[in-house]
Amino acid sequence: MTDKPTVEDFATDWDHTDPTWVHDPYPIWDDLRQRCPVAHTTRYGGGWFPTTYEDVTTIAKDTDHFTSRTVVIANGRPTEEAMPAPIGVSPPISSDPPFHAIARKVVLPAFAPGVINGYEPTIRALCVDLLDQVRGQEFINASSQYAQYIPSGVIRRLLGFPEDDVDLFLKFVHVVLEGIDHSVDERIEEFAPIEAYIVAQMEDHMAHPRDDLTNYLLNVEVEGERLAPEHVFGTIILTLIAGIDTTWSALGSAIWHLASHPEDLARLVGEPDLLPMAIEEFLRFYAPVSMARLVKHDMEYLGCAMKEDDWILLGFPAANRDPLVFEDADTFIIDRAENRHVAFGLGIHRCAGSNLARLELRVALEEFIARYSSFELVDPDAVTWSQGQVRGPRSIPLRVTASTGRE
Amino acid sequence: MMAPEIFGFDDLGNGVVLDDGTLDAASLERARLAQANCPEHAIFIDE
Repeated sequence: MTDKPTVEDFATDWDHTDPTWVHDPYPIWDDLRQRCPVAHTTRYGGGWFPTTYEDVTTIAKDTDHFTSRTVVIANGRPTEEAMPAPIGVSPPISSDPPFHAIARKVVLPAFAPGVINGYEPTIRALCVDLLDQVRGQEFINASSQYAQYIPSGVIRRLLGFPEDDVDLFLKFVHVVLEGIDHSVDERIEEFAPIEAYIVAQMEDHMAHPRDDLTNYLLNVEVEGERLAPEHVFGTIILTLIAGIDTTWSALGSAIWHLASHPEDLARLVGEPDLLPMAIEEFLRFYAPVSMARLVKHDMEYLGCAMKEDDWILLGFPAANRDPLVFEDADTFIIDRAENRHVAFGLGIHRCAGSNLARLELRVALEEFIARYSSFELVDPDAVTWSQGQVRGPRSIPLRVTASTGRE
Repeated sequence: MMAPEIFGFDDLGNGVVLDDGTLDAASLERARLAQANCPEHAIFIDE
């Protein structure tokens, strides 16, 4: 770990791992939106943080001036050796046009609603099983005993990886997304076991083919040719990382909100049909994911003197709090009817797994509320949050105050 | 999804308009709500 000075002014020295930001970023973003609105930092080798809906969406759609060669801010920039632009290390999220369209078309059929909806019984069984494991307990941890095991269990099945390896995936996710202030050498060392694990899984799937996403990626052909092994590897990494931390965070934030807002919990218990609308507001208000871009060339953009390879932190969660677009933007409105949020990003890199995420959120919240009609935080200060580009509660100690005792 | 009587998906999961997209008064209201919720601004209504 590197010892970093605490941030004094986020407008000129922002850091998304600073303890103040990790604890509660929203006042920081509201302040920056009013006075910058694009903040700068010299940390991580230099970067920019747009905070308005307009600026965030403009950059998200602008693939001429920004590259997605890497989407997670770290101290080092990716080298061109392993998988050069426009492919990148984890296609399609790391790919630029024109290759991006090819890589995205490969994954989209696997995440289309018609396919994803078929997972509902599996997801429900997983949720019920997790709740059964804590049956009768007054104290539970909604993050470490529930939320984290739903997307990780689903992605494990999707990829066809061994059941016992779920805790290993959670460790991988932590390394990739939260170890970002480690040195380049530390990052390489930390990544080695993840690489070895996935290569071993690919080999096992080649030797023993089955019907899952891994074998689909190994076999799928684009213009008569199979994908390069590095491409398959990268898309598996993407599925593993982007499919777990994100939904875990969104689900955790939703349960945390309900635990601290009994009026919203009571409303959902009484009006279960409201859930899909409430989920959109959870996604807007607690959007977990910020993406990154790199500036392609030196340029003046949005009034900023951007340099080649400067980072852009694409704060979709900050855009979702922009009062120019959302009425009472800093108020959670459980039945907000007009909600053009960008929690899944937008443009060519819009989340390919949004249908799966929404399904997991709906089923996991339905089952949780069906089991517990009333619950509260044991201690609000005991809730801990992840750091970096995916924000969510990592520990949510709850006291169950009314359980349906459903068998 | 919003207004499933108006919108569906193709095999890639991209949104498509079902039928020829002609709307009656009730579904027009639902289409307007879907339009107001589309982050891509991809829904257009001709009147």
